[in-house]
Amino acid sequence: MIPKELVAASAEALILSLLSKGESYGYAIIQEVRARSDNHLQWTDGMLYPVLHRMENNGWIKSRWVKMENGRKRKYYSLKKDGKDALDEQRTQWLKVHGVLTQLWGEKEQYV
Amino acid sequence: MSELEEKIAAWRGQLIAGGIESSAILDELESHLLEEVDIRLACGNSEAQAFEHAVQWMGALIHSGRFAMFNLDQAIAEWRRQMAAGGNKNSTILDELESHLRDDIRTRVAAGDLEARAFELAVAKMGSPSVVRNEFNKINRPTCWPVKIGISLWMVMAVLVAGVVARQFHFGKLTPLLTVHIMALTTGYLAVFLAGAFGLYYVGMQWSGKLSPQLQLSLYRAARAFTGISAGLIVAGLFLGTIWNKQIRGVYWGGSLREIGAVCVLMWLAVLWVMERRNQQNIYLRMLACVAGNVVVSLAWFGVVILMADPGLKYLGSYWPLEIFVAIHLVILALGFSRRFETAKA
Repeated sequence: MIPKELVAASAEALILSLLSKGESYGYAIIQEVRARSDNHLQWTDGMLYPVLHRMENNGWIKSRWVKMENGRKRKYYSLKKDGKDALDEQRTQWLKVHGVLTQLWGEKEQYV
Repeated sequence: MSELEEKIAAWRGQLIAGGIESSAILDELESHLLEEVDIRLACGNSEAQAFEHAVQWMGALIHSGRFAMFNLDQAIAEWRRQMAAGGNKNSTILDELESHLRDDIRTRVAAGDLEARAFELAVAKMGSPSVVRNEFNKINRPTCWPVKIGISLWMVMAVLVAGVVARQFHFGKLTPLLTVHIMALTTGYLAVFLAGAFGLYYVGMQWSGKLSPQLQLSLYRAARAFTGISAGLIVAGLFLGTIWNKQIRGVYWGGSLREIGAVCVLMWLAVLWVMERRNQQNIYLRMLACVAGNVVVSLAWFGVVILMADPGLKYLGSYWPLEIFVAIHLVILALGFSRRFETAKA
């Protein structure tokens, strides 16, 4: 299981990446992250929504309520232009971290 | 039918008479009962004793209300009440969390869980009211004190301006239109100055290395908000000014330096807006632009004195405060941009 600090740190990048594929809602986002990570990345359900609202406050994403066939409402989120820019920046940052770690671990393997 | 099966059938009949009509719930209770019977049989009880003890045990469970007549809508209404009592009072947020809860329950029920059990698990996974409240409190961080002080000062100044202008109106020196025009333009200019003050504080804290992420966000949001407020007020002021011009002078646009100054400020605010749209990630540059706004407004507001020695503004007596004000800002801007380019090169 991935520690909660790393889960929290990666939350924005994951949400932005998922929403870049199309609009989605909270429950579906959690399910997709869980499925893609083979259950290693598990968010507390109550943690996701504050992150989504913060991203909405930042102007990265927007939301709309959609009335479902059963009469209930569901809030869908989608990416805004600012969100695409934020995703580009976060992607650059995460790739840098990934690159450094890969480089370091590559060196370690050479020594081993 | 064995004796045990007969007893279980009779027991089910009692439960139905007691109000538990759902066959799914009855099946789950029966399954649970049989497990309890097996445990007691394994401990050496006779079948009759094991059944009797298991029924007593199950009785406590059933009377706890967990399975009896479960109503999802009622349970969710109660959950919402508890969330609200725990400090989560925003109904829009609760609507969204409820939508999530219902999705989770639906998935669990489809996977074979009973509705009551699915509800329990989904609620547990959502987190307690205090956990949810704490998570939301993280995004609703209080505004930093420099921002609070700045906003308070602006409000005090706005009230003072309103008081002075209202006094002039009271003594018949101003028409209602001109009164509102002056109030809108003056508070709008003050709002640009406030955004500039936030920009100065931001740049100073950045240079001293004391700019926390919270302060950064707080200052940036405040500067952005006051840039918007100032734009609205100045547009309103200009609009009222044109109407006043038409009424008094017969033309909408008088072409005075004051009017040109207001248009210049508006154009600068438009530049800030374009920067906001185009330069999303560089807050530092946008805050420097707010600092530059101080120069634009000071020249548009007081600079007309230098340009045409407007008799209405001679109370300044001397122009050196304005020159020093502009000079200091230009130095800060020059340093700010040079540091920015150094960082970009590095």
